Amino acid sequence: MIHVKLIEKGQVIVLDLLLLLMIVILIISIEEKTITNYKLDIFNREQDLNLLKESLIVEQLISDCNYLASLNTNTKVCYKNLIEIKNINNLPPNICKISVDGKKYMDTGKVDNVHKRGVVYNNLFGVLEVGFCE
Amino acid sequence: MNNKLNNSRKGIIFTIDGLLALTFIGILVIVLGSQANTTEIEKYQTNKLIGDLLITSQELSIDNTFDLEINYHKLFGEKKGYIIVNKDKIEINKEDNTKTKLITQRINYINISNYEIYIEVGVYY
Repeated sequence: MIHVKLIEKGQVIVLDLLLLLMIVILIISIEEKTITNYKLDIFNREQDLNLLKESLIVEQLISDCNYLASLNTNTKVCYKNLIEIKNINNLPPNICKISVDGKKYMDTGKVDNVHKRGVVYNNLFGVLEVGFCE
Repeated sequence: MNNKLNNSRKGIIFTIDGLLALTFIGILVIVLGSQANTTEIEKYQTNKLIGDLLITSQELSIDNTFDLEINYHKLFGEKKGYIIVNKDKIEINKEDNTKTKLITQRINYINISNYEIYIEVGVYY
């Protein structure tokens, strides 16, 4: 009778431990997957933030007459999206490529990201491409 | 009898521990998983390009869907979308059923001949 009781006790403990072990393995695998996804998400967010920064720089290039935006000398009005190729040397140093409709006006290094914008150049619609270096 | 009860209580405690840990993991998954998705930047850039299309159309006094469609293709390629100039509407890559969400912008301007031109551009993403 005592022998039977001992077996029952042993079985209960073993079953409990097995259940606990299964739950622990499950938890560790879920945690690992969650943390990996989180890291990947942070990496993607950093990339997005970088793209956003570059996008704002391009916005400034086509809106600011100190860069590419066109200035009407008579009215002193600066026109957004109406560009001239000028002040290429004053551009931020991480800009490596400037082209309009495939014609390159600046190409100084290996380009990492390219941003496209629609502009008016020489009184025609054109696609401005601004390339950023790594 | 008491020993048996104690053992079964131990078992219950093990299982409750496990369930609590699973609940914690569930909360962790919900908290870490509730991040904004990465299409936000794509939306922002599409918005900018639509704005470019509208501003340049005004500067170049574009008043027909044909010219605007050429410019649309230069900026968006074959992306699904539509163009409206006054009452004329053109749909681009209408067959693409993979894109369902829409970004749209519109503009009204007065052209050289003193006519009011309405332009609307929509792009699916």
